[in-house]
Amino acid sequence: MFRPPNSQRRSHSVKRGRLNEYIPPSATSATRTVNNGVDCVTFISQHDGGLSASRWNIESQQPTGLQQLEKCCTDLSDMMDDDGLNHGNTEDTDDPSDETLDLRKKRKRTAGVSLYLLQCHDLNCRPQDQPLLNWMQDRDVFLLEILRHDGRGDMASNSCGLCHADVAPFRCKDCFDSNLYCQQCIVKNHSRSPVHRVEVSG
Amino acid sequence: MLAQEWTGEFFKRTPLKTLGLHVQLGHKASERCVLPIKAFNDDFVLIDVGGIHSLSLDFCGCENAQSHMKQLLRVGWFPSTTSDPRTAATFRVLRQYHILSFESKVSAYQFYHSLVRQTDNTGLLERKVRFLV
Repeated sequence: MFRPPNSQRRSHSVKRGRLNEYIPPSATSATRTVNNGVDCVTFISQHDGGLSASRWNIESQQPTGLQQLEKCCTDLSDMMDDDGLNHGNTEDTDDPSDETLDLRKKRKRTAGVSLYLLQCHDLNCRPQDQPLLNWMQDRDVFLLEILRHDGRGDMASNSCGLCHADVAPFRCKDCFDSNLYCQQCIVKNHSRSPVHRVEVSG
Repeated sequence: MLAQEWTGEFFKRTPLKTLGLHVQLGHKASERCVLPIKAFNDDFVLIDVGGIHSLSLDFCGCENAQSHMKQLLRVGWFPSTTSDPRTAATFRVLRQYHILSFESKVSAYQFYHSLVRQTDNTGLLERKVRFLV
């Protein structure tokens, strides 16, 4: 089975847990407060020597430009999980390593449609980057046109397309045109294509 | 669609396009369009159950003409894109794959390449690759 060359690295990063996810030590209480408009979480943990406190500031910022394009191509579950908090910087933890940043950029692109895509107005976002989203606005037209084939279409009158006879209930599913024909004409038309499937109007 | 021409020694496949067949959309078979608009490069690719065909297709450019996408859907051809389509698949071939997928595990890739073989099993004819992995 084909394995991507970086699968080893990817599985390694999965074991380490998600990016920027902080797992607090045991016997820790966390309180979330808002200081001067900045959302911060304070952890107080109990060690052998006593108590230690650490504080995180959570800055949520909207992705722009290339980041937004990149986010467009990740799938819906990532959108729900990230929730815009993955860009927050913390005081006590190190910056994410370059390796994990590269992994985020190399994430497999999918054609999944998420609601997030509706907000993509980036000029760099080409039509082929979001094919289903472009098609989504035309899907009603497609449905109506497909349903149109079940009906008579433009053939409102009953007259035959060749001899203009009054009773013309037959049409062919395999011929190029969807004209209605009378019995003599449709038999004559199919003398050279006998396996075409003919329908009769009810 | 697949005409053959007697060269004096054997029959050679001759596309109807080279014999001068133009397909006109938006009108009945007997009508002429006043303002036909040629498909891009006068080369429209149609995927059907019998193979992959190259057509010279004329869209209708009359005053009350529908969009190119609608004109294709009216004759039962599913356009591969909504803006300036150059390729379409017939409803018949889409339905065939739909039914085939109920009974077999054939992938769309394999089904497409079976159509490529249907067109030319020797691989000697020049063909456009529309689905390459």
